[in-house]
Amino acid sequence: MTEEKNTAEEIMVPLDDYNTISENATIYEAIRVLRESFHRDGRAWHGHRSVIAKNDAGEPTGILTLGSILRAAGLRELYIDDPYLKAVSWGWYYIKKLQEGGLRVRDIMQPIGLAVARANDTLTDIAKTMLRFNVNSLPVVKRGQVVGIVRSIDIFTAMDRYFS
Amino acid sequence: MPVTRLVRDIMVPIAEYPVVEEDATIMEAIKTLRESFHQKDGTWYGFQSLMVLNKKGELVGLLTLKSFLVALQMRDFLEHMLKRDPTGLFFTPHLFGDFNVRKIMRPLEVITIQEDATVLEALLVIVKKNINSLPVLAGTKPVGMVRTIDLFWFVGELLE
Repeated sequence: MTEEKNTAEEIMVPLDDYNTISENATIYEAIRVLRESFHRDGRAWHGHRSVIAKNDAGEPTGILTLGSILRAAGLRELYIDDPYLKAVSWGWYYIKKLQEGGLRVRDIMQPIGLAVARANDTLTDIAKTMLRFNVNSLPVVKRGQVVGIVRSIDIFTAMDRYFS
Repeated sequence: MPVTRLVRDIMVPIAEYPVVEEDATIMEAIKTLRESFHQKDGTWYGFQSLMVLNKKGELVGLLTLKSFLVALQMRDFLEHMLKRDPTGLFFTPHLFGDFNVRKIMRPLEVITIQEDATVLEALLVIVKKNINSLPVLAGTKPVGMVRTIDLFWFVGELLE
């Protein structure tokens, strides 16, 4: 039985690699920062699909994902068969929803405290936490500080030796 | 505002999407997905899921990153069982022989969308079901995949 060697700290993306945004920023600003995040490196797996939200003191308070933006317009409460939706331009509808909401990043982000990985967690530990909370990214905590983000894609790229 | 866009306008065509057979091993699926990273270098998107086909080439499921997390959890569970009960070793070849893609995939019948649906309809399905990859069908035939990142990009364009 081989011991698992990879830990959260070894496979995570360091916090400094991420773009950041104020937790008080609007959804518009968040969309702009996320788009810049992809562009920044161009290649598929280097443009991060999340940005880190920070409070006024500069401390990380949340992870803002693509999914959180898409969910922000309250579409979950709509019905797909609603004839009104077929009739209007959905882009117009979507933007109107965002404006009405007046939402800020802190309202839609995944809070740091929701679920975390510890620096020495194994791949399996991390996988279990992600499945339990149904998330694809977890903050990595070491001595009470957030030091990075571990994503499901990081686990994927590290797990192959378990199945050889 | 632009005319209504359809799913087929923003999806990734199936010819460009990584696929794997349903009785492939997990390792084979991992390799296939990894190779797709390299083929797609230089583009802003990468693939985070695989389409699963049966022997006839029909789409039967989807392997997502979450499926691979499940595989890891299953493997851990099996290891613990074997540690506690040495006689479990007798069953090992059987258990691991069954450890294929079909065991961890998201079955297709659960969630798909038609290619002539609107982008908003796709967005609603992805948000309501809390998924990142949505297979696109023309009737019963798989023709592509629409992902969170495609939809997000489209939303961003609206704001420019």
